[in-house]
Amino acid sequence: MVNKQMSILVVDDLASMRMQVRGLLGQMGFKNITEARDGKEAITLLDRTEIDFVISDWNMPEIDGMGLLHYVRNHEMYEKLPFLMVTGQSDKNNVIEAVRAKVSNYIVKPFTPDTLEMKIRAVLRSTEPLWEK
Amino acid sequence: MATKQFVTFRIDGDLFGMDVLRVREINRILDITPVPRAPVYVRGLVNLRGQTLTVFDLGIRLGLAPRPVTEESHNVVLKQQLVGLLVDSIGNMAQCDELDVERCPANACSIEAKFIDGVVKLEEELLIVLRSEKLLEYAGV
Amino acid sequence: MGMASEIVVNEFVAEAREHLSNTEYDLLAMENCVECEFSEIVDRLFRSIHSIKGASGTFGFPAIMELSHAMENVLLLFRKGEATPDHENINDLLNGVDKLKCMIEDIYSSSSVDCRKELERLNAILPALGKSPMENSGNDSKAAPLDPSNSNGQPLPPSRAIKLVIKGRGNTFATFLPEAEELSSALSMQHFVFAIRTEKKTSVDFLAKLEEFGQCLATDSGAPDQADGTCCYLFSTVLEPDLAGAALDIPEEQIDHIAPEILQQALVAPPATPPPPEPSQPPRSCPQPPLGQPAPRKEKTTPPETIRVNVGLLDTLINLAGELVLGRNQLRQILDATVDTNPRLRTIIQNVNLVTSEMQAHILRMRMQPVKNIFSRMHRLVRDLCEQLIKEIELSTEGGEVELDKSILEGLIDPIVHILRNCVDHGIEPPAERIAAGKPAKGQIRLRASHEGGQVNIAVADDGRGMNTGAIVEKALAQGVLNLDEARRLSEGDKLGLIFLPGFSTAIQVTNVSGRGVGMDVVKTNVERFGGHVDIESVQGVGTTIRIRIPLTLAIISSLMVGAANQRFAIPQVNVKELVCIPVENRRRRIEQVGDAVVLRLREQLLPLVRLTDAVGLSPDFIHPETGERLPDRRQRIADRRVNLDGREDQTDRRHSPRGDVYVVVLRVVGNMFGLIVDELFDIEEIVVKPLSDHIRDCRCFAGSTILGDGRVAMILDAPGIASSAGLAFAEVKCEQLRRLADESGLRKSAAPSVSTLLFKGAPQELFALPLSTISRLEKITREAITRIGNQEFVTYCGKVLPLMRLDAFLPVSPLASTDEQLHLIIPKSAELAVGLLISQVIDVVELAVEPGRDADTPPCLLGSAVVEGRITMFVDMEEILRTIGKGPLWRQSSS
Repeated sequence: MVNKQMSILVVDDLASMRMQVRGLLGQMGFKNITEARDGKEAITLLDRTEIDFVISDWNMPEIDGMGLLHYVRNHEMYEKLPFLMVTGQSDKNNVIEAVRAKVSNYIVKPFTPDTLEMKIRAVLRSTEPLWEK
Repeated sequence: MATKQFVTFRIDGDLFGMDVLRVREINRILDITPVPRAPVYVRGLVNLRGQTLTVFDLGIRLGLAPRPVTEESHNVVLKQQLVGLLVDSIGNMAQCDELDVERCPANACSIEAKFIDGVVKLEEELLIVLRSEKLLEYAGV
Repeated sequence: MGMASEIVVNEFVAEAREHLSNTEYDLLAMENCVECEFSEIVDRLFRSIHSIKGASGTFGFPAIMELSHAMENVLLLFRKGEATPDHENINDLLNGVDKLKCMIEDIYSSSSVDCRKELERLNAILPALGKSPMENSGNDSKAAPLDPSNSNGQPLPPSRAIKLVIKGRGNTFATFLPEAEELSSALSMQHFVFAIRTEKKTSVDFLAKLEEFGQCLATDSGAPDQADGTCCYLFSTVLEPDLAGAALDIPEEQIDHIAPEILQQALVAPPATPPPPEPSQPPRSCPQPPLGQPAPRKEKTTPPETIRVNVGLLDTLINLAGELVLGRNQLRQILDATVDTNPRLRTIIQNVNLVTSEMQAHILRMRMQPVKNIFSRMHRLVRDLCEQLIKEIELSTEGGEVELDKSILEGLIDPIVHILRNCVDHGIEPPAERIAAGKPAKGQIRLRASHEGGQVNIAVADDGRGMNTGAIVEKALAQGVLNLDEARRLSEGDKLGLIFLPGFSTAIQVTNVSGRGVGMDVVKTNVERFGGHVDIESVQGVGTTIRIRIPLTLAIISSLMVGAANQRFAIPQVNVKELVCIPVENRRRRIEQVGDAVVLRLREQLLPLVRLTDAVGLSPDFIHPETGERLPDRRQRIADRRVNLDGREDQTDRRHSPRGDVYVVVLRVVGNMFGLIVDELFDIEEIVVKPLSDHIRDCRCFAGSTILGDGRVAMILDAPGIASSAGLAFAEVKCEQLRRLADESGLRKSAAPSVSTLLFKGAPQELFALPLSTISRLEKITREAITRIGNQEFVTYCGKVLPLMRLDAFLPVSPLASTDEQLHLIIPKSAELAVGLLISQVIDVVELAVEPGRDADTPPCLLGSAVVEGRITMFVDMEEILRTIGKGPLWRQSSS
């Protein structure tokens, strides 16, 4: 049973993408969603609040998704923090790099709501659909 | 059956009404700064929480005498523009069915017909419903 | 993806716009940037386009995605150094940006935008690259379970190994004995599971690599066909099949994807054999490879973080901040009285003061935007124009960080575009001409913004051919906006200023870029609309600089507070030239009547004066010196003096200040100055401008309203409006001034060759001249003021009845048009006669050294005629006229 109260951090420099992801997470019943505009802000938030799940874009100014992932995995505290990386279609090498850096999973843009749901489910090892009626 | 609600107020003893949906607020901010050379019906400007509100003397606007400012005077602030109407006093809210708003007989009162939306027969008196958009209309010079 | 909500899409549109505007700038910058900037610019470009691509795909706008994808591919080539940006491919990218903009603007119809040409061109840049390297694939394995040991499918307790036999490509088989727990965990995470064959025996290096990307669930447990020295691994990873090979750097043939259903089946089947110990199995967990360093920091290279805020929200915030300031001021006024009773109060008040002021300042700053927002599009403009006009120009911009109020910034776009068009079209010469003139073939235009004392300067400087003032004057003469005599008097600066006259254009050749109708006058009008000024400097052959000076913000202005008729008014500081206090004892000397105008002598100048109360139509009042009462002031003119019964002037007039001093605010309006008489002077304050409602806008005297510290509303005075509504007689005053100057110079050098002459009109087409020395005054009257008794006309002037005369009574000229409501009077200098000459219009006062020609036909009362400024002008013999009328009985009578 997935804990819908878990705190999810959505990191993307495009507000529209954040809104979209937040909207979909909302439809899955997640209540506790925080947003960050880039890796830098995400790190600040991570250090300040309890985050149970990170969904981060790769392509961001300042500290990108990879930088964030490195930061997370380099901290004992976050070693096991579920981290879903969002990448572009042509970012083959990015994906490989992210996987090497122990990303929990990745999702390729453009993605459908179902893909996102599936990926989240994969990270959370949940077999039941997350969608709320 | 759509009901309508009116803010009511008096000018020269007559009862006027304005659709409540067109009224932003009613206040007694009457520290009016006159605006020389403005049209006669413009009484001046007041400070409505940091914005300047143009106050019309509703008496003059309707073709009646200018209104003196008394203890009872109020500003009926409209929604459409930052304009307040200076009235003699505020009455109770009035409510009626949309269908009860009758067309105004041509000689019903002394004010210009274009400002009147219709009349409603209340228990004791006649309510003259005003058209805010006509009151706000500016003909220019 | 399905439909993204409208809010999300709107947000995306806004973001995409922002990205695209930066993109355009960066593309242009990339074309001629230095090497060290290059990678930074390319990265930024790539990131922008990439973001747009990703989001557009996700939100379901495939056309945008396709085009941005094509652009991204080109940028990728740049980034890898496989292609270099050149004029051509940057053009293609710019065109792509244009199309993207187009799509974004009407995003729901984005697919109907035809961008085939752009796509084709972009794709042509990357023949080698072909398709994008990675597709979203999910192709499943060809592997099938050969021998999934099955029987009565009970789920197994997890800590057991299961047997898995996999048939791979080329008829290879592998048998794995993974732990059920690990396998099911991999499945629950939806990991992909692969069977991988390698050439060599078990390699620690390879295992480490596997662990890097996932988990090695099992190795081949020594099947007989393994004699060939290959080794098999059961590998679970989050990587998709087509990525796994790339990640592990092994050919695709050696990897077989195992469908999850197969693994699922294997899991529910009981193991064929108990899990044997796996001696050959390498340690499950290899030492973790060192994790990468945090991403390299790229500070300073990215713009500061921003968020978008709705302008309406901002304006609300500005209003609220204004309100807070008011509240603070009111509080302060009340607390000031009691502050001494509680010393702690003082610190608190000071703190609140400080914070409030600072907050207001910051909130006002939120409307500010850097000028680079508009500078950036100018690069594109100049580039396109150069292409069109076959010129070579480099546009450099400076001071992009200078900020201006959003609305001003938007208003500046058109003027700057116009100036730049002029620069490219007329300013910068064609390359050949430049080379011939010893200049580099490539022209330079510098667009520069800078702060200068509360104002922002924007200068557009080119190193082109400069302006030919001679040509400008010629053109002005040809267009009739100037006459020869005026032209002669113009300074070089004045001549350049002619280009700001309406309808003026110096383009010799009409091109479709500029020089057609709209000209610099539009620039001037636009800039002046928000309180700015335009200047021009030009040196022929060297270049032209046009400078725009603008106030920092529209929302807040520095204003002088003045009082009149017990009301306070704000005068924008930009209009205030100086403050003059005329002590009561100097009033007689300094203020006098010239014709209709009351003037102030200020140094060498005569300044028309207007009372603020008159200008705005308030009844003037004054405070009675003894009772302190406010009483109406009944005097009509400021120059009128209170005269005591014994005929001496009352020196204790107290109209304007307790002492009777007169406060004059000298105001500057386009080309003129005048004095505004106010009752009280207060401080200079920063005020927040509130717009006026339509109902008030027509009063002309006001530029807006504001809310004062005490919460009351005050009107902001509009200097040009006041000048025009007060009907200030600038011409007459100028006339008088010239006359006085002429008088003075006449005294100094009696044999002056030229004579100050008043030019005036009678009937519409008839021009007359009179030496100023014969004129005592000029007056303006209305036709209504004229009374007719018998054949004689009169007006009341200075309390006396003044008989009038008309030129057509003495000269064979046409009568005045009967339609003019405003007429003028010339009151000649005469010892015995008081008479007014009725004319229709005062034209100018000029210095003339002409001897009017006279012949036998010249009628009496006329000195003769001459051509003045290209037109036949009749010189009136005033002495003769006075002599003629002096003979009549009526004249003598009334003058006595």
